[in-house]
Amino acid sequence: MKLSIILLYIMLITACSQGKIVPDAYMDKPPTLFPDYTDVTFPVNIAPPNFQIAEDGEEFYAEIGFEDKVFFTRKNKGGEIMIPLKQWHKLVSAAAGNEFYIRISIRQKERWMQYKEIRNSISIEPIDPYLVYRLLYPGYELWNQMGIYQRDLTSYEEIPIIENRSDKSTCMNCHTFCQNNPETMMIHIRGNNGGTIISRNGNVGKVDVKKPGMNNGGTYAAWHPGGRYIAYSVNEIQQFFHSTGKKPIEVSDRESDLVLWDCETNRLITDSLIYGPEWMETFPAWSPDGKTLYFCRSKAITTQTSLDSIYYDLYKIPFDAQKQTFGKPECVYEASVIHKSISFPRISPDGNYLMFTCSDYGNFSIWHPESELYLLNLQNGNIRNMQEVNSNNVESFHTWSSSGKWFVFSSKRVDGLWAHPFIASFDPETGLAGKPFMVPQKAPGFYKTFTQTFNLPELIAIPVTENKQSLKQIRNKLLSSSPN
Amino acid sequence: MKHIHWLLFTVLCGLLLFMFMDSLAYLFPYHEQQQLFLFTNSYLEIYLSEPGKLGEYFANFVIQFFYLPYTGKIVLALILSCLYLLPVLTIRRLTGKNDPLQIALLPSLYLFIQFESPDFEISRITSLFSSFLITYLLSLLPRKAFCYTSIPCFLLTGFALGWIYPVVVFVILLLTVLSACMLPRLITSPKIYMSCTILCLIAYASYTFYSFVHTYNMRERLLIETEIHVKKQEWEQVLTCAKKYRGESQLMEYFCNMALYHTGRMPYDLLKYPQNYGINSLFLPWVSDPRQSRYGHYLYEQLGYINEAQRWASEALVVYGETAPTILNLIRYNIANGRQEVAMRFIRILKQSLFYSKQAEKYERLAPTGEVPGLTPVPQQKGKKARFANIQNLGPELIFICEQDSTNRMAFEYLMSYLILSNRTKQFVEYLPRIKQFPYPEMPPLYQSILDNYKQTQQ
Repeated sequence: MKLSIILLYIMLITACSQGKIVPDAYMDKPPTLFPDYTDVTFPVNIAPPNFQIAEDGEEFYAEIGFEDKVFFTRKNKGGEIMIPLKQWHKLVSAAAGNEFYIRISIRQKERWMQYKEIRNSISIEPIDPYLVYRLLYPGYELWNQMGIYQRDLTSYEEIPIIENRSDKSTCMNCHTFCQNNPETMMIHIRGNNGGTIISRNGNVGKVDVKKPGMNNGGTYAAWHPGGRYIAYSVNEIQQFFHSTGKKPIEVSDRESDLVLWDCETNRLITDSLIYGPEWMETFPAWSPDGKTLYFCRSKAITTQTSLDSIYYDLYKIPFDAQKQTFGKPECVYEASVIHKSISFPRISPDGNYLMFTCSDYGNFSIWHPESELYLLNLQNGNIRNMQEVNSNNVESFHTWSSSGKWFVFSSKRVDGLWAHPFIASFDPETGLAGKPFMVPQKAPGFYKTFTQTFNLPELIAIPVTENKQSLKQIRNKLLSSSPN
Repeated sequence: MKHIHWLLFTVLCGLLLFMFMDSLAYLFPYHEQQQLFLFTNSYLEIYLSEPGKLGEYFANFVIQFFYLPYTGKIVLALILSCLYLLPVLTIRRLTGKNDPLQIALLPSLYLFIQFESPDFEISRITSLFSSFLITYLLSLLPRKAFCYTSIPCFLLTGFALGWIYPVVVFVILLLTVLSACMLPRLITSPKIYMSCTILCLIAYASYTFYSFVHTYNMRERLLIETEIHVKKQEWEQVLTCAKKYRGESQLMEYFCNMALYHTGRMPYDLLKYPQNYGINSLFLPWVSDPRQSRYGHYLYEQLGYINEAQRWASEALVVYGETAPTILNLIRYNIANGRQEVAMRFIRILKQSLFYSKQAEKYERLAPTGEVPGLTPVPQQKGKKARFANIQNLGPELIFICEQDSTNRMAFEYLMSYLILSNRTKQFVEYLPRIKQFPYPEMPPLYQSILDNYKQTQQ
């Protein structure tokens, strides 16, 4: 009887332990991982970066540790490595500010081959713990299934903020927060019961960002840091579908201008300097002090203008919040001179850098494979291609974290159709970014089979769901037809 | 009489199976094409993440067997019949009595009538079946254990499947118990007892028959059957359905014209078939109608206009989610368009299904070649200014396809039909010489008459 218990105990121990293996040979190259979690810097509060070993083999063994201590081992035949939250937290606590290693061995033809060690870093800087994005299928015009979701980056929890399940004719977009804070946020609703839901410190209202005489309503938004004004571009957007070739679509504005919505008086403010038929202004972005409004501007087009001849330059205009007046617009970067076009200017929280997307023409960079992230140093005016984060496919929408030490951006580098959120570290001293990594998911193969695209990833410091009353009001406003 | 429930169960099962094989057969492939069951944890998690959705998961599991011609129908007939048998067996276990009114037949018959509508959610059948099954299994426990476990199970079932199902189960069981316990006290004569049962069965059968006939929608059936034939490229059957169809339907005319081309009769018989929608009988102009999104790709695919077919398939993905036909279309179009990685993501999904995994493997092998059997894309414009599709009007697109590929007979015949239906005789005459590209035995009479008319008006 005792012998059976001992044997059973030994069997259980053997079954549960992921015994260390002794390699038969070594390889001088690291294995390919999916997602590519090699040579990257993780924030201290990120969820475990589970991955697949994308190499052929009969069995896989992974060992993750820091210095001499092994924190986690896993041996399996599928090559999927899922790191338990507890072990990951222990590793992160020990390795914060340092590098940790991932050692991978693969059994091929009965021989264990150990690959070159992968080294990743843990930054002591935490990232804003919540990421808000819209999930939708990569269609063009219909919107029967979509929602805006909040992902907890410290775990894998994803919860819907709003979904259009109850009313499939409703489209929601352009969720925008004031300085990474969901206490002050807005969401556009299109279709039935359309309008703009604005939530400010617990007060939720639905407004129509349009006034009589205006051709178009509010589209791309930027909160003034004071939380009173929202700068909107008012765009007429058109889609064009390529008859042949790999590129499916072109999206272009036919006209666009800038307006300001005053949340306290519920009225629109604008100026002929940013609203008129001569120019098309779009993608507003405020400087952190709220005194300057950056935006993209192109010459107005006619029906004869070919889409690939529309170029947007980067402009700025001073704004006096007290008097509600604008100064004179000034060109910051004349990209059109070199036949390039700018979209999505976003300024770092310290006001020293402006990141933007640069493509060959137009402003709908998410459909431009050549679009890349650029960085403008606002202190010395230097502009550079952020090669350390760019790929040979789309890099587009991006958001700074509230600390300015991280940013998240959309990239279609995996297969060219679906946008995925990537995070990269940023050093405000040098203006250099780290190698980006995909937002970790519980299932390592998630990004290989998930068929919805991540749209407008925005980092926020506290969850939208913290203020349950506001969230309830936002959801109610989605279905309500009456403004306010 | 003691075992009448087995007899009724067998008869019910047989009748349902007969109806599923005959009058309602068209609904099975239709339902099967509306969803895609995947054997993955993440698929299960979708249904576990919200209370009341597990019934949908069971339904989708059952629906995937509709792919097979007989299995799905047999399974559904059995499940629907069990909605009668399970409560009867439960009551017999609990009270040892039979219900003379056979009330337990009502859920089966009601859901059978509901099943006639293509919009019917089969999860209602599977959820009710699960609830009845759980109750029956509980009834097998000793009386004391049954009393202790029934309420927690009732709550758990309501949480997992939706509250309505345990409530319906409770109501049906309650009525059956009342009928089984009370009526035998009132009706002592076996003859009257028997007559009462027979009368109820006749009433149920009559009402079911009446409701079935009353709600049966032949037009809907013909449309669904036509699409099934289009998918299988059974063009003669498509024309047969079109002839049977009463009333006007743009979709039917769209399919019918497709069949006319494929049977070689378009230049001859175009005007012998209804063209009530004019040029819009030839194609579906994009009007942002979600319901149309799954039909538009057929024509463009056959014309070789892959970008447009892909656009329609993408919109269908938005509206209907990951269904087998949409995913298969997107795989094929992306392979043909040289977007191998995109196709691979859809292939990986399909590989997780039971009945489509082999097709997925086939496409996985084809993906690097960039070629898909049956798809001949319009040659790509090289070195020319970008050209954008006219999604509202087929005419300019047909001209474009004919210019890109003068051997595209379908584009030519559709262009001729387009010009005929839009009364553009001059243009028709201008494009007619292109007919020399194709081996027509003689000038089609329809074309000849239009040409003659045109010549007469010019003189």
